[in-house]
Amino acid sequence: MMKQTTLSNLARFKEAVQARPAELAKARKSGAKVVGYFCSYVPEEIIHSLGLIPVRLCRGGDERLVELGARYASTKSCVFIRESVGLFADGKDPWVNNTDVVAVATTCRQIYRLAELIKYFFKMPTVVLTVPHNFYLPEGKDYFQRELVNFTSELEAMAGKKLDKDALAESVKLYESIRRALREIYEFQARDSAPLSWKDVFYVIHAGFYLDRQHYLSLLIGLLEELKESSRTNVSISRDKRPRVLLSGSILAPGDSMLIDMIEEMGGRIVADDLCTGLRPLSQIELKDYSLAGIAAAYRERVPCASIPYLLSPKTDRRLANLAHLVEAYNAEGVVYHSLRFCDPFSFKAGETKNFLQDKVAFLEIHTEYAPSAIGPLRTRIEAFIELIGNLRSGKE
Amino acid sequence: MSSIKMSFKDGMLNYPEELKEAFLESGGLKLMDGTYVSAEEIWDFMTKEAPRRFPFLYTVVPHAVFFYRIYHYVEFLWPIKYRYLLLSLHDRIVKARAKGTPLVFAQGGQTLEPYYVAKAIAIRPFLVQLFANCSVDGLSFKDLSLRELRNIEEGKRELSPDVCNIIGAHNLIKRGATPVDLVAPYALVRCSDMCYVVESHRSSARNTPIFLVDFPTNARPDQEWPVEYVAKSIRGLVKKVVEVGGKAPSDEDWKATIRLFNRGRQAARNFVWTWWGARRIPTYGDDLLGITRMANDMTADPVAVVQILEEANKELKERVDKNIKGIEIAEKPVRLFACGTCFYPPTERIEKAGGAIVGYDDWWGRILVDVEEEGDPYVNLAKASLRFSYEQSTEERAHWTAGQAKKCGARGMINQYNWGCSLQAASARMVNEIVKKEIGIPSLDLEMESLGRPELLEQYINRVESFIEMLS
Amino acid sequence: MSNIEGLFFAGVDIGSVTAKTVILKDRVVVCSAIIPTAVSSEKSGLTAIEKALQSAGLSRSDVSYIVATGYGRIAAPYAHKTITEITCHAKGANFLNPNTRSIIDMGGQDCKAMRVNEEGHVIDFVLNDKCAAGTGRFLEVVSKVFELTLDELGPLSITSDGRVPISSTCTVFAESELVSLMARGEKTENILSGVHYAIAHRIAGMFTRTGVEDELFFSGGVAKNIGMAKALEETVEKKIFVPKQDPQLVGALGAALLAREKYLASNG
Repeated sequence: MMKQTTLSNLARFKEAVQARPAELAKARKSGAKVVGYFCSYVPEEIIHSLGLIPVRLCRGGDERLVELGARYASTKSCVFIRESVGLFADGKDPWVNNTDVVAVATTCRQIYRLAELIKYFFKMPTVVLTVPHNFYLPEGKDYFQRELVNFTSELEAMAGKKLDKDALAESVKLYESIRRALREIYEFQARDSAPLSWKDVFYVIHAGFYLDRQHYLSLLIGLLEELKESSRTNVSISRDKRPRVLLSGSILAPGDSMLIDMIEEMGGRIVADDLCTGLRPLSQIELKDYSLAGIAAAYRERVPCASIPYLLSPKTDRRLANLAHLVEAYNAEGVVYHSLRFCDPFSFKAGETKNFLQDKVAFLEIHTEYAPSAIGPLRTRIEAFIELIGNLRSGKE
Repeated sequence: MSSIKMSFKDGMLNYPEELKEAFLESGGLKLMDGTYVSAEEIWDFMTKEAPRRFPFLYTVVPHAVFFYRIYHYVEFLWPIKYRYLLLSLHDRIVKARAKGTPLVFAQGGQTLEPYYVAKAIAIRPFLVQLFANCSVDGLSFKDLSLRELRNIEEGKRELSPDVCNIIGAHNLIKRGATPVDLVAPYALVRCSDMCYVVESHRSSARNTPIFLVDFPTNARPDQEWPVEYVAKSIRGLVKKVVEVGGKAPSDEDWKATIRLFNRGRQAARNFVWTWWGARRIPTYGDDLLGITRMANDMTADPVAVVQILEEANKELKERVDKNIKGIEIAEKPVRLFACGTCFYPPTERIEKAGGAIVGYDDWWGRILVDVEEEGDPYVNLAKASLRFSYEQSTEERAHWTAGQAKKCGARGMINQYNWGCSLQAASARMVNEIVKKEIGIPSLDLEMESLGRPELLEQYINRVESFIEMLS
Repeated sequence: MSNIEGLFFAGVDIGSVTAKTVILKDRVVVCSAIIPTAVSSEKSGLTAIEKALQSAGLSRSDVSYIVATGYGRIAAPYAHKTITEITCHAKGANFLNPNTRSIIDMGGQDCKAMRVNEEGHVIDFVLNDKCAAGTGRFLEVVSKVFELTLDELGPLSITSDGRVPISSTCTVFAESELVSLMARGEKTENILSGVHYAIAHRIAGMFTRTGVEDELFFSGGVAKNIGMAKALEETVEKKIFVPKQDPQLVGALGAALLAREKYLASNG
């Protein structure tokens, strides 16, 4: 049962995103530079504080672009990487067309290939931030910090100025405020009687990839006020009884909505996620020290992406611990664990994740590959899973 | 030595009696543990014991792809010793472990000094598989391929159907079929699957200790901090090896080990350059591969390997001076350069079709880099590893590959990668284009199909043969 | 509450190869039908229902609730509710054998593995609908290679005195492997035994993700193959239960039972 959100502030995000490409083009004409980046491990704060404009490049779900990208990469590359290469090959994406330099973090090595391919085939300048695999060892921590210093100096060359301590502190505070606001908004969608859906919040997070960050913060504050107001004035919203689903796994990029739509269509309700395009980069990050070292530490301490291997026991694996926490905190009745075709880290860990969560919650493993033709099998699985949750519920009652 | 035909009886090949005298004269092998195996013992093993225990190697199987197969002709003595090392690997490792030597898993693409210096034996995926293959007597080729397939399938079921075939080695470790005490490879840039496959050991019943020597993805030669990072990682590695039963290395141990490995690399380089300089192709392509392979993976005994490499050089030089051609190679074959990691090309088919593999980029790229003997060995090893061709950016690697392909006179390039290797597959087009631009030769992309079966498929053979025909 | 004992319920399972239906009077099977699926799955579903009803002298108006399942459920406007074949199979299996804790359903074009609890509720499942290996289609290919009927494959395979292992996991390659085995002079029954065990091996692989528990219920058209049942039992190492009733009807039976439940829930 779909709820129609009547929050007027939500529409503002959409309008702002639509107007943004023209704004970027105008800014670039006046000499501003846009850094289009892949991966949530790229510290936007640094880009922002240097007066460069950060835009997170992130699109999925387009078969045609996947095929196009595969001609430069390979049919065996991760489907998100293929589409990303396809975006550059196609030359029609407004964000790509307004990017002056692409920055990547090599959390996943296929993203590094992506950088190499767009540099070679499409002559796009790139800046690479290496993310170490041994993040949790002292030398890994040092290495990441040193890489950040190098990353910064390459950006400084692009920006034509040096990193300023105060400017950095200002940027960090801005991003902390943004994340705080997003986390608060996120809590509203998980309520039994929620004034907006998870999908609405997901869209709001994505709007943040493109908009001017200061403007974005003001929109978020506006939305929060409206949400708080609506709960104060007791606007009656019926209790949402649909099965509560936690969505986990590979990147779900804007444009790749087949899975989300199907869960909703089959009567499920997403209430939480650990996606890098959703809640994960916002969780457990707190910047106490506004220097590069502080940023390095904070980004390292966040809930990690599965693409960073963790060689100690699964019992101390923070990604798994976070999933278990989310199941409990958001009362999830089922986990939909999704991996993209050829997304190795998430695909390989499906079995282990399932074993870890098995006793706590129902678990469904799903694979997609931006293929609309695969909607039939997807429907059967999701539908059966929602039925399964419903039956387990009635078994408990 | 000229080419001597192998004896053939009941479908099995064997070394002919007429070869015995020359072989005995060539002397035996001194092993790493100080013992000496005489030529007589090696001969008896290879002609009596091995055919009984490992018939899969001695049977003639059309379309088989495993590079240490025995050919129809013997042209050198050193490959017999190399095969001795391969087929005795299992027994030697069992003996060493009984004495307390730990067995450590390393991956292709890296050097093995840190393991051997700490008195451990390091084996790579291929040798992990070899150990398991030789742990049962009397396996036919069909038995062997079925076991390998089932093993890979089991590994893939646990992780994903899209995982690289390397999962086979890891599954053997998880099952305990190969008794590895520590899984500790370098997390090289050329490979992305490896890290997650290593990680998956933490959930296996066996729970083998694991460690990753991390590698920076985008290290530039002028940057010192990647070197520091890798050096620290290697320090951690050696500590870990000592923890599982190795011995903490002294400065002298380091110098001796690095020197030995450098000797091996030098011998391999000399062999390849001599080979390239020959007017007619002097050996089977597999022998060229065998040399570079030996100098890289050390076949669980660097001392014996270095000896074999130096003997091989002498034998090759003799042959090249006398202008003797490999007997089963065409007079004017289509010269091909093999590009790609973690595979071996089907040289027998290529040679039958009138081609010849004259160079490999992967193992060769490492052999060209020596490790400095003076100074901090960890830093030196890190520096050397960061210079390998496969650790550079794809563009840089492609330039280097073009240069090497030109040096060995290749007319075409075979670019090969495993199913599930997203990294190598994604760089193929770029590499092919750059090589074409720089030296004008075409490339053929070959994907080693799922489950890495050791027998060739028609589609594979067709592509390669058409490519050769196209270039003749 | 209306007199449930006199009420009729229908379940229709519209697969890509056959459409199956079961009519219940309360909880007793009254009649059933299996027909080949035509181009229109809507028509096929209706035809199957009509055929069954006719055989029992009933008409559609006698039926209080219809549940449609299977691939063709998306085009079943006549159904009161659609439920996936996973849930329906679990229900049907539990009805026929309350000791069922795992199910393997081998259909014409797909294969399903399920874990269920004692109430017949699915607690885990895994599907293979991308690949022919482990489905009825593979056996069709095999029967053509040997010029036998599908019914002959099972009985012949269990007379084998030396199973020939099949290494190909893909149906396309397996076909050529079978031909070369025949050319090599291997006995048909030995090759067939290898085929059945290779399929069982694939099925066992599906259970790696879900785990498998006694008793294992075998449903779907392929369950009639005694060679397959034997190979499965040995490979999965679990007690296999093949229903005496037509194993192809398990999904439709489950759908009919769920029709009854849904009716009671909305009318009681």
